[in-house]
Amino acid sequence: MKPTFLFILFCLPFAVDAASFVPPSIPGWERDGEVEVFTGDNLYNHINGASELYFSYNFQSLWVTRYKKGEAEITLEVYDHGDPVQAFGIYSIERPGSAAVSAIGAEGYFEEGTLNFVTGQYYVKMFSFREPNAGGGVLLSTAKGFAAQLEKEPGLPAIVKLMPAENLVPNSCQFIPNTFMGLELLGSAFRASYKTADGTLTLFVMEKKSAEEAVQIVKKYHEFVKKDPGELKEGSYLIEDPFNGNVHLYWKGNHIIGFSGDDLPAVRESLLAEMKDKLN
Amino acid sequence: MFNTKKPKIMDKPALNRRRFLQLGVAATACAAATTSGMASAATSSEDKNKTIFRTLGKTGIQVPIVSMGVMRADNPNILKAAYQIGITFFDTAHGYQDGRNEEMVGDFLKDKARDSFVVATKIHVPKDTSKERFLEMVDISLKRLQVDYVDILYLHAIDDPEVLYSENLVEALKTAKEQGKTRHVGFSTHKNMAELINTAVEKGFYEVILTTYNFRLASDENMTTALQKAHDAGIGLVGMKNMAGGWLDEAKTKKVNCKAALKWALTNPCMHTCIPGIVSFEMLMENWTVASDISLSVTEKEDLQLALGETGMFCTGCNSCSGQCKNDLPVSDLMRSYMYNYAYAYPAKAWKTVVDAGVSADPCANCDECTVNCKSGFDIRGKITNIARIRSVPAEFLV
Repeated sequence: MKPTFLFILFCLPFAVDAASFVPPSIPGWERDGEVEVFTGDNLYNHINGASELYFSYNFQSLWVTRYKKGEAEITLEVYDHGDPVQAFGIYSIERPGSAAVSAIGAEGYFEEGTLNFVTGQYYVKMFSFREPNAGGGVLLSTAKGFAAQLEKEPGLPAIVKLMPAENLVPNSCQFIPNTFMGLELLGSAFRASYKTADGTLTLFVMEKKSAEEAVQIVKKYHEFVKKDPGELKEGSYLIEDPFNGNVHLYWKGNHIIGFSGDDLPAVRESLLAEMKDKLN
Repeated sequence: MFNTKKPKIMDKPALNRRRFLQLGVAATACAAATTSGMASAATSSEDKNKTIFRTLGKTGIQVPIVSMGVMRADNPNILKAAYQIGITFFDTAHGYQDGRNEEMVGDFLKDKARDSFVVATKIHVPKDTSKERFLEMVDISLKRLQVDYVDILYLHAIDDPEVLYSENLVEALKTAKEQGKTRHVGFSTHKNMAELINTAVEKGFYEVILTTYNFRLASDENMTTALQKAHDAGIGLVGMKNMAGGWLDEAKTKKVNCKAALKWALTNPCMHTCIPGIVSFEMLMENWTVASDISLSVTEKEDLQLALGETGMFCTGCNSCSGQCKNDLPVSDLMRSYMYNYAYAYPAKAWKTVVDAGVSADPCANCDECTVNCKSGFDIRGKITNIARIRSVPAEFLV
């Protein structure tokens, strides 16, 4: 490279992200056009109003690559959400309850003409048109190789892996950013649903940077419902939330474990005991 | 089959405005706004203590001026609270959250009286989608929403009049209506809005239009005129993206005064309702205060005025710069190139745009004074000088 070019390249802040994306090759298929790149400023042009949800999950960039084979088409969308928790979050909020998930990247699933998976900081969506049984065929084979290219050590967020398995509603584990339970004061949380013959409750876990940050959540939540909890100490609290019903909180260190939904004391205690143990 | 009257509001809401205030959720949002003459002509019922209703054109559907875009809500309790305080119109789309959004709305609506709410969904399809495929998608949406029909079925994100009147899509919408799957048909648009609205007025068929509408369009006379024509023609008009993205700068350090922005959109009496995306109870209450008071305070007006002064880095593509450069530079193309490189992180595209424009690496070098007056206030010479340098970089070094 000549010095002039080096100088210019240093002067112009070209995005390394755009340059570093290499779409996978698909045997028997050819690329159809250039890779399209979208950022927060033009994502709306690609997914319309759905973009706002992606923004709430720390959306950074999207690369769209199209392939064709005769009349058949494949579209590959790679969403970069900046970190694995945010990527899992947007994946989890779009994952159907009925999805048969498997180890594609950290986790993924496919149907006849679609395949979605999450790995590292990326949420990947693949679509096919006019290609029979693409989901378990060309999309799956492509996804497996491509997932390894994106992230060599894929894994779900630690708290997701800690969620108790008994009575867990399939695919109910999600990450909700910023406004958990519709309250800005609560910030972000992981949640999962548990169902028994007596009802359904939601277990949630908030992981804050410090114990001080966690106790502030407990404090603000009490203020919100106009209740004086007295001196706050690590332990259990009941919030009578006018919007979300009774919410049980357990605060320890930088974690808050909580429950909403049906009042199932035995299930709640069991889940709490398991989560406390696992978080220690 | 269909009820065309104002949706019924629950008799005894458990959560009303007073209850919100008691909880201190939105104390600041509920501060009384200064009365403004700007809004006085906007509605016939501006009692500050009463919700303002407007009618969606000839559909006859009456809705509060503040409705709810559900696309970002993950918690059905927010819909519940919205419904209980008086919001009756809920907007979703077939594609939001890959269908999970419609499912959540459906879970919430399933035990509500059908005449107590208005629900709209949007379906985004390629132009050549068959009528049969479109109707399959409508059926999927109805199933997710757990309703026999939606009140408004939109073609989603239209920017081309040809697509708007493509035979297959018009036939699909007609059939959906004939089969009772929707009461009314419409389209949503966020690009080329004025042309599409004018086309719809001229050609007919569409009953409701969901359009981008915010304070950044204040000086867009084409848009203002188009809205007036649509309103006069009896087309229902629903506003979206009223907060213009919510931020004033690229670094997202300066927030839009969202309440003021929503009020601004609704001070136009042609705008029948708006659908701000609501994700929290705090946001719900702040927006809902606007439903009974659209008068802009002095501070709110100032905030919007200041917001208009923020130029950002995005060319709106108005093309008013065309022909202004004394060296005949293709200014609009070069602004797009700048945007490709710095906003979209796509230097290869920026390079190609510059090369295609046929300009040198320093096209402003021999010019003492820039004659181009950009409506958005861009430093045209600075941006061109910056981006034209990319021409010196070999294409193979760029991706």
